[in-house]
Amino acid sequence: MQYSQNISSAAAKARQQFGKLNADLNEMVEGIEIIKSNLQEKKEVDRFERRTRSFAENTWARSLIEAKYLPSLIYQLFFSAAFLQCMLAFKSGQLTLGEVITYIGCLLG
Amino acid sequence: MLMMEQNYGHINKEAGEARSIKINVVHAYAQMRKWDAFNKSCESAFSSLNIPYLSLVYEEDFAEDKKVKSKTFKYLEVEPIKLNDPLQRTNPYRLEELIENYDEMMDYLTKKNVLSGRVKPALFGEVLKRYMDKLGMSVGKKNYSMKSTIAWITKQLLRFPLLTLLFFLSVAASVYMQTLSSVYLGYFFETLKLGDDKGMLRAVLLVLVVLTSAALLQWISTLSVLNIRLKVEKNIRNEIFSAFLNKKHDYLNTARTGDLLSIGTNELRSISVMFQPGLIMSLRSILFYFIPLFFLFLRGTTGRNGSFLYCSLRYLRCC
Repeated sequence: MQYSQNISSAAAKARQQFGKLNADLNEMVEGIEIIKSNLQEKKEVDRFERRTRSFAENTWARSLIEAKYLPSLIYQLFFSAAFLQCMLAFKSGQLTLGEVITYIGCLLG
Repeated sequence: MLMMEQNYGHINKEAGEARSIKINVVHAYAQMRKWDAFNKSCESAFSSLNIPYLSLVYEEDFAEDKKVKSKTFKYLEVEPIKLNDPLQRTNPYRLEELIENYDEMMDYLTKKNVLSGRVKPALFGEVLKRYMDKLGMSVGKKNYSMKSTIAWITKQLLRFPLLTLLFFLSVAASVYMQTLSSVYLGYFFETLKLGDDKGMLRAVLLVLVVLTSAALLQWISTLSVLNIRLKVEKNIRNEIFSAFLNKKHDYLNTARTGDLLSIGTNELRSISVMFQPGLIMSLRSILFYFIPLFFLFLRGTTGRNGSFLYCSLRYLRCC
């Protein structure tokens, strides 16, 4: 739940920033001749750079929230736990060698 | 121009040694901006009145007599004829030789972002181009080496050397760990066959450690490539934007707004996909071919799978 709230808030920020970025690009392309004739290129470039930086920062923040949950690490930990359980089951005679191979095959698949 | 202001006039080959001057960098920058604005307004006026014009850059075009003559005849739409007088630079020296505080000027221009293409340096064309080439960039249309996709990707990656190094190391290490987990899996089956309980437990623990490390390293590599992707995306976006602004009116009059927007959004997305997940997948695929080969090589030479430490030491010795 907490994850969902955090991620949706960060994603919304990134999306808004992307919208602003595209709106700026659209406005610039539409009015490029006015910008050029008034020699406002530097100002426009600076403004656009600020937007792109902000968009990159927001996307990075969202990715960090996603990354904190480490799904691949959780998978590997559970894989190892299942592996250990399989070994114990084999040792106690509950699984045969063929069944161990099938079990590990299922885990890897 | 600045030399003439200091009463140095033209220098030609017969003049002997180059006479260098010390220039006021702030003044030079102001002059560059002034002339750049003048050139732009001329170009703009000619374009809006549909008057054809010929742009010549002294440092570039007048470097070769043939080049400038050919350009001029083509522009005038007349048959080339032989001219007695050469159209070449009267000044044979490079700006590095003529300007005492050349490095100071370059530093100043870099700080002022002239070298990132915001101001088109018409007067210092050739020198700036060389300087930008040194940095792997250029002032004109092309910002990076466009010889091949690999060259372009390499140039982009080299802009963030530490992140790139972290990315490559973490990918290599994670693939190494994943391959090692398969080795220990094999070791587990061996112990299973022999009924070696201690060995089995050790194999399971080793698989746990190796897989966890692989997952952590994979996480680091994904984050580092994501960071690279975002930075590259940001830079490309800015460069596309600057490129639009530097386009001539002729181009902007004919190009559709939708096409330009598409370049700045959709096509840029394709480039970022090439970095993530494209780059990481390509690298992992290549390494997944070579690293198991390395383990097979170890197996062939030592006749055993070996521990992680043993394999690493053996690998270092091989290198």
